[in-house]
Amino acid sequence: MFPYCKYPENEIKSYLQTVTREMVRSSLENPEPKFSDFLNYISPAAENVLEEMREHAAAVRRMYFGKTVRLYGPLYISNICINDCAYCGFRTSYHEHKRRRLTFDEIMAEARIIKGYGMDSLLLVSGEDPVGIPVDFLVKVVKELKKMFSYISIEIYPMDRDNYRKLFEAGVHGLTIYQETYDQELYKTLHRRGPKADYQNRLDAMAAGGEAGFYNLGMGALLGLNPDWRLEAVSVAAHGLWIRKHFWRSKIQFSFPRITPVEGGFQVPAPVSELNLEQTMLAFRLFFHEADLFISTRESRDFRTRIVKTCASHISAGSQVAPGGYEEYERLKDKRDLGQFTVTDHSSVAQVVADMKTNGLEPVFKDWDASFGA
Amino acid sequence: MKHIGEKMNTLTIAGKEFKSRLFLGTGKFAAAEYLRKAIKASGTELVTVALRRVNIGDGGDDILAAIDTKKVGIMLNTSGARNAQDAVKIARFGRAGGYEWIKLEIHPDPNYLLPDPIETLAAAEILVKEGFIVLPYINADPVLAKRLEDVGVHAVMPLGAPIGSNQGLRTETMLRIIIEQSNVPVIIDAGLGLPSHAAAAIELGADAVLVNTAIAAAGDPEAMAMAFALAVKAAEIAIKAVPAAPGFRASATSPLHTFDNIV
Repeated sequence: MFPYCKYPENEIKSYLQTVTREMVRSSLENPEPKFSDFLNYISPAAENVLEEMREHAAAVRRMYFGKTVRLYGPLYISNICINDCAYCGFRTSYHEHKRRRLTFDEIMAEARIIKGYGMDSLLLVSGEDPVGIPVDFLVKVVKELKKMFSYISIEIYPMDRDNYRKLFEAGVHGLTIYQETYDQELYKTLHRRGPKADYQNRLDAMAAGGEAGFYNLGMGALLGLNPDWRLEAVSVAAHGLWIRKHFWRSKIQFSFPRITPVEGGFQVPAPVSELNLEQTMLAFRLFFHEADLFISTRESRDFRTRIVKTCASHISAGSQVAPGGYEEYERLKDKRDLGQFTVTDHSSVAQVVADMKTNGLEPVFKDWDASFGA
Repeated sequence: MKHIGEKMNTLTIAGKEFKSRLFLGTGKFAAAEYLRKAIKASGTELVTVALRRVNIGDGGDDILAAIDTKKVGIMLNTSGARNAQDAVKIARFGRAGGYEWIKLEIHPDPNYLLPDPIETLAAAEILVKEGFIVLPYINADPVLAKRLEDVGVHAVMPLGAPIGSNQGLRTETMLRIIIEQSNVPVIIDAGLGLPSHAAAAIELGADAVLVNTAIAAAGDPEAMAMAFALAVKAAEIAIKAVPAAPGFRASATSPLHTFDNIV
């Protein structure tokens, strides 16, 4: 579990079993949710109260986000990775597919395609490739990308505060890192090699990001690794609270990546159902009224549309999750390269925009004007 | 303390423990004797004193003599200061007389005596660096409270209503946010006119309250001091008893396991 929790795991687990439907309903009445309300929402009993949770969540979402939904696009710049995470398409021990690291020009070519789709908010992603993608290169890339995109966030290998600060000054304003699993034993078995094997180092990176001053700090666990997905959700929430407590100037964000089949086969140890995922996201929306909740193209079009109405504030679209994927897709209308995960929703940005509008939501591409400076 | 229903932890400010969550201001008392009785009746362990009361090197001031410093700590109030420079000067004078705890109060406006946020932040930063124990008096401004916390103050003291107005928790909405977000003790100061206001402040989640006018200007300050002490104590006991009222923590099974403050 998240190591800075003041309550032990077994106490939380026992509590979850004692939650009743009435307790969940009474939580919904509470205008100022406390952590025990979150626990009620994530409990087994809440599965029978989902419809009411959806209604309340939608009302909360409308209060804090109005009818808007933010669009963003991921740009993968390298699938070379020195880590060996058992569940990931980029793991170093998977030799079946050629790896690719984009050059500066190739990155810009991808960026222009994403920009052409209408995107103004970019998530820069990379495998752990510190030799091939060092910080100074990233700084150069970001400065150029900042001419095209108002907002840039990163999901790359953990760094220290000073390096994060370099990226912040270059124009990166958001940081996303998934702890993958907060269960330290499980973490050890899944991350046997490379820098990512260090649990604490990964956990500390979010705080380093806070110290560096990133406006947005995004957390998440990879759903499907830990059979106890409820406890995993508790850890993510506790981590969010801890970050919010220590870095009051930053906004906390949550993602809910669900493991998808990847090349080279990895048996998902504990698949999380779509309903479980929905319950998790509802619990977060009901407790963290103002936090950004992300939904990616790992999930189906139907699910994404449904979840944006009740919880999610940010949605990606038209995503390609392999380096050079956008160029390849535009050229071949197909993807060949090794992706990090399997995209389920292949809808184009235009289609997603249309879906949002049909559902009474207003897609927003620009959140922050780059012309004001970093 | 953040949420009702959670067991109240001991009040600690700058490493010092307090059994009483009622602090007193010593201005406006008709005579030192009333102050002495009020201090005793209130059970307070911390009072504020204005510099003009403190004759450095003299020690013979009437008001000061009413305070048993073995039982009651003294916070030097910089009231009278109109800017950071004045406040810092006052604090340094006080240090010469052995006072390290500073209630930073800077009000350039003599009409409402509202605190100047810019001068307060500037003075706080200097005084913290110089090793004082700094407790700034501020308007109920949540961002200012965080900015002060960032520079290292040992508590924040947001007002409930303008000094001497006795109106109670007029700034409640903002106080709630400060209480939620603060990592240092929150002491609601100014504007508390009745014991019920003080109880409400503690129920809101404040760590302590500071009362001056309501007690000093009462017909019977000693009795009023006791009333305030009882109100604060009542609120503390009620919190420990876990209120069943709607909006408060109500748990059918395990009242102590609220998991608030999980981190």
